[in-house]
Amino acid sequence: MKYLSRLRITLLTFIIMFPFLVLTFMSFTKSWFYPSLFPKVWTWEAWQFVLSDEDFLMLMLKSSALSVSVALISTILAFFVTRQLYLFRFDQRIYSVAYLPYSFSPVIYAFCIQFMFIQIGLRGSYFGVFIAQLLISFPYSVLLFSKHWGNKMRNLEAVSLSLGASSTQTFLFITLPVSIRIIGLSLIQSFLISWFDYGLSWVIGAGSVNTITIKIYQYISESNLAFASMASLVLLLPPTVVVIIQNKIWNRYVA
Amino acid sequence: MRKKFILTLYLSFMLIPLLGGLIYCFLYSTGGIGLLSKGFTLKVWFSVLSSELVMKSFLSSILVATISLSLSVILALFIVLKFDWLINSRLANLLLQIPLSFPPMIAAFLMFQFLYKGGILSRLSFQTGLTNEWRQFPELVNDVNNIGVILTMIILATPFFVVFYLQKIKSLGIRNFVVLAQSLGASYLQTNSKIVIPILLKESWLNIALYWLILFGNFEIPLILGIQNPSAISVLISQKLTKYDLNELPQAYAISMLYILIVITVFLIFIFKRLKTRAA
Repeated sequence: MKYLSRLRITLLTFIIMFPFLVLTFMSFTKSWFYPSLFPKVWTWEAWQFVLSDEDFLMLMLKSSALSVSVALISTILAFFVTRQLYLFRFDQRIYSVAYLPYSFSPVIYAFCIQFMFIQIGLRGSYFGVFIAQLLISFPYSVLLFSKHWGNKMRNLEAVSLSLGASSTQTFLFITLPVSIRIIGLSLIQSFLISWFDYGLSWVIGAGSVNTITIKIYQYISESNLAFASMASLVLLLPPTVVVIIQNKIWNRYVA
Repeated sequence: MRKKFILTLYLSFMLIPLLGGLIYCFLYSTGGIGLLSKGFTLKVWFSVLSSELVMKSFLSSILVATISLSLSVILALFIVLKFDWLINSRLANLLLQIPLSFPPMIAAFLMFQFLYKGGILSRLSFQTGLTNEWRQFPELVNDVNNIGVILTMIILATPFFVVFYLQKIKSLGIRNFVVLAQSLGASYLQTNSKIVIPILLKESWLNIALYWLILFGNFEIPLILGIQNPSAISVLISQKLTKYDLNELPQAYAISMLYILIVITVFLIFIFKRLKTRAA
């Protein structure tokens, strides 16, 4: 029985990790022509590039900074806006509107709103892409927080206040600790929305803003197999780590 | 006062960009604005609505999204029902979350490497003697039937529904219903078709509707794996808007507006159904 269970998990691990293995394999290839199953030349070129090229390192830094900023701001905004909506006892139906922005294709959405960015002078800037990504990630965070506030939180805060705690103390020692898991989830999810975004960065960035997804598409268009695979792995690494952390957070606070 | 301010701030953030975009699309497509504008006209709208290419693009996107999503849901249901050990395995739950962080662009890139005529599968079929040259390998990417696009969408959507259904089976205690039904004499097939599947589908219709919208408007997958004629609607719009032909712009905005209206219609149907469910 234990053997069967191990076999199942090993098989599942292999299936899940298969794309990563293929990408790793392709990132070392050079002169890989049909019908060979393996390339004639193996090379470290793509990986040497990623570790030594200043432009690529800068690109990673900028992409990370952009995604971290989007995650932070959308989470903070969503936390306070949904809290206010809950304090003013708005009906849950108000959150239905938040489904709308991310129901649209980011590319088409970006094309439709780009005139506003041109008017304000934000098209072609990192700040413009940041605002555009916020328009998608903020509603998502709102939806995450929408189910967080409710009677349980109201009762907890009421107990704290009735026991003599000030509203600041209640917020710092009751509301925030109880909300920490949902804050973590919102940070992770909005980071991923920004990290994987291609459409908004491409349209609003207008060629002046470079992110890893844009670079990957550039490599794919050039049929640069090794570099596209390497950049894909670079793009996939943080989210994979983040998913594992998210699962740990979930297990710790829910299980 | 503060209540009104919060409400205005919230609704502005959600709706103003969208309404602004919708008005802009309408004005541009009817000649209200634009460099070549000659005053209000519905000419562009008539040409868009009668264009075979546009209608084919919409139909193709709708069909691809519907087929991919239906197959993904069926496959996900099959996986959770067939491999019920997944429900209680923590490690399996962790592993299943990893594909959720797979972006469409990389999935499309990988799929292309597997499916194109000189790709990994074609090489394997040559090495095993199934084909003698690359031409004999079937056309699976950039093909008329959108096989590559559909396969990629299935691979992306299935893990999401598997994870969702596993969580629902756990949180709703569906296994208790199964045990009860089976103790009353229901067969495995009856339990699944009359209890488990209806409950899971009812729980997931909201996610199915949202996922359909996401697949319908997806850009990266049809861009890499799709065909040019008819192209997916998002690709068609981007092609028209990035061409340096100013005459194409009003058409592109008219198509964008049509797309927005379809999304809003689906959205309103799902909101209406959601409110009705809540009221019930």
